[in-house]
Amino acid sequence: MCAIEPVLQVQGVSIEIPTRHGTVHAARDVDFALGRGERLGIVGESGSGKTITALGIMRLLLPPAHVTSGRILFEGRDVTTMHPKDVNRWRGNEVGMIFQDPLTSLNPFLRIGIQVAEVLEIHRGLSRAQAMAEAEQLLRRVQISDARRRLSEYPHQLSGGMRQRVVIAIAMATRPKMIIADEPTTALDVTAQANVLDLLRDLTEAERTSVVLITHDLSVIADFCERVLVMYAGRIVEEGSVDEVISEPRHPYTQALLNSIPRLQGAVGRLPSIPGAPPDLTRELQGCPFAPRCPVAYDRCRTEVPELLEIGPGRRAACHLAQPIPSNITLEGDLAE
Amino acid sequence: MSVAREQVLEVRDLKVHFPIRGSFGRTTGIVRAVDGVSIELGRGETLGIAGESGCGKSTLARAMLRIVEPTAGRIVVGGEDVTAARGPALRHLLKVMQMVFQDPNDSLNPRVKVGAAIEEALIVAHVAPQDRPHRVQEILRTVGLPYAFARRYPHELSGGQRQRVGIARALAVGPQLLVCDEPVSALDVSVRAQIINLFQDLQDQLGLGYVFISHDLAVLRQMSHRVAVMYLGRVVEQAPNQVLYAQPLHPYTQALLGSVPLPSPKANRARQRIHLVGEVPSPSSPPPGCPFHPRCPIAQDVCRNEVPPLRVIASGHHVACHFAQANVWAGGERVGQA
Repeated sequence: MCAIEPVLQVQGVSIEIPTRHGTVHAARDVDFALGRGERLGIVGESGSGKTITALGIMRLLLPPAHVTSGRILFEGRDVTTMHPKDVNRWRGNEVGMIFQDPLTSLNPFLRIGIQVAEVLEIHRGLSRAQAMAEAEQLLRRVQISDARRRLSEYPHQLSGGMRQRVVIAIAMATRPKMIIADEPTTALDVTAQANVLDLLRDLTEAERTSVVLITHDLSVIADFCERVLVMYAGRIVEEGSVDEVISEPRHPYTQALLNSIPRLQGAVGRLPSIPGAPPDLTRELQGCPFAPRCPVAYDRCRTEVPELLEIGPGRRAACHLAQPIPSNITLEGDLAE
Repeated sequence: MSVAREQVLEVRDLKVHFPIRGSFGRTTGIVRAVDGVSIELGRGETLGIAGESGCGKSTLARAMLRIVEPTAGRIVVGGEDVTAARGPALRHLLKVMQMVFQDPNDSLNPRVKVGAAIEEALIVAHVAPQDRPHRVQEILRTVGLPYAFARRYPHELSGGQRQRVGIARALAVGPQLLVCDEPVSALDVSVRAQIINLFQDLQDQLGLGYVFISHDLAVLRQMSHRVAVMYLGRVVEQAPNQVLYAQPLHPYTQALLGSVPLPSPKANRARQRIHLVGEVPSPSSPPPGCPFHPRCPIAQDVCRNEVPPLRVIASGHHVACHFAQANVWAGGERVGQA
C-alpha cells in the first residue's frame, strides 16, 4: 500500500442510511490509506459507496446518513470525533474539494474574483486587495486566459471546462494537503476533460498534494491515478496499483467491468456484459454480494462473505478465488506486456 | 458503404437557426445550431454522430423528428419528404421514425405503469384494443423484460430497466428507424453493455436503422457502421467506422480521439495526449472560414477566409478541411489560447 507517511487513514468505516424501506448499508468496513503526494482512484458504479465514503471522510454526510463504526485519521488526528468548528477549519485549510458540477460549488450571483478571493481572505487572512491579486495569479495557474477580465465575470459567462478550472483554483488556494475530487470531469467534454486532468496532475504534483479521485470511469483512473480501489455494494473488493489491477484484475467484478468497456482500439465484437443488477443495499450480506452476477461463483460464495485479504504486495482482493501470491513470485502478466 | 442498401433516411443541407430575442422581442442575433448537415441512412444501418456539447447533434436529432422546426433543408423518410409534413403525414413520419432519449424519465410519466405507457403508443398506432395486451407482452419480451413489469411504475425500475422501457415504447409503433440521443450515457458501465447489446440484437432481428448520437467515441465505435463528427453545427468528417478510427483526417477528429483516456495505463503513457486548447466558438458568432481554424495547428490564411466544403477523400470518407491529412498534432505543441 503506501509505505511512507500516510496523510489519510480510513479504518473500518461503515456508513448507514436509515430509510422507510430499511437501513441502507452504504459503506461497509471501508479500510484504506492514502500516502503523501499519492493519486488514489476509487472506482465503482452508482450505489457502490464511493461518494458516500468521500462524504464521510469530509464529515459532510447529511442526516440520517451517519458513520456507524470506524476511524478516519488525517495526519493522525481523528476526524470522526473532531469538534464541528475544528472540522470547518480543517476542511477549509487542509483539504480541497472538487465536485462533478462546478455550478454547485460556485455561487451564480457572485463574480469569479470574489469567490476565489473570499477563500484566501478567510483561510489565509489576506486583505481584499491582496486576495484579488492572488486570485488573478491562481486563475493564471489554472490556465484561464485573460485572468484579470475573468475576475469580474460571473460563472455563467464561463464554459464548463473553465468553471471546473476555477473550482480547482479555489480548491488549491489554501495549499491543501489532500484534494477529494468526486467525478470532476464527468460533466465535461472529452477535450476539456483531458485538459482538466492534466492540470490537476501538474498542480498536485508540484505541491505534493494527495488526491482521491472518485469516478465510475476506469479509463480516467487509468489515466490519472497510481493506485485504485474498486468498490461494489459498499465494499472495497479490490485494491492495487493501477497497472496491476488493470493488466491483471484478481476480482471477477473488476475483470467483468474491464471487459464491458467499449474500446477505441482492437477488434469490435459483442461486448461481454455483466448480467443482472447491483444488489439491494438494505439486505444483510449472506455471502459475496457479487455472487449472483459472478461467472465463477461456487457454493461458498453464496454463504460466506469473502474478506478483503492481502493477495500480494500492495494487492488486496475480496474473493474466495483470489489466492494470496507468495511474495517471491512476481506477477507474470505485468512483465509479459 | 450504404449505396446498395435501401435508404430509409435522407437529410439534405438541413439548417436549424434559432433567433436570439433582445428586449421587446426584437431579434438581435441568430444561433446557427445546425448549419447545413447532410446525412443518409440505409435500412439496418447505424450512423453514429459524435461531437461535444453545443455542436448541434441533439438539435439535429430533434429537427429530424420535427420536434424543432428546420429553418432550411430537406428531410426524406422512407421516400417521403416530411420537412413540412403536417397532420396525417406527420403522424406517418412518427410511425416510421421514433426517438430514444438519454434519460428515459423524460419520456415516461411517473404516474403511468409501464404496460399503460406502452399501450398509449399502441393506441396512437391504431392497434385494436383486443390486440394490445398481447402486443405489450410481445414488446416487453423483445426488450428483455418479463410481462410482470407491465404492472410496475417507472420508479420501481433500475436505470437499465427504465431504458429498456424507453426503447419498448419507441418500438411499439413498429418504426424502421430510431434516433437515439445519448441513450446509454446515464447508465452504469456494467448495465451500459447490456443496453448496447440490446440495440444490436434489435437491429439484427428487426432490421432497424439507428441514428446514434453520443459524445462517447468508444461507444460509437462499438455501435456504428459509419460515424459523422460534428463541430459547430456542421459535419466536419464522416467515414466508415474502421476508416474513421484508424485514419482520421480532420484535425478536430484527431483531437477528439487523442483526448479520450484509454482503459489502460500503459496505452495512456505510450501515446501522446492532444491538448485542444481554447473554447468552442459561440454558434451565434461563428468565426469566418473554417469553424475550427482558431484551434487548429495547421490553419493557413485560406482557412480563415473560406469555409472548407465536405470533400470526398475516398469512398465514403468525407472531410471538411482544406488540408486534410493524418497526424496533424504530431508535434504535440499547444496552439490557440486557453
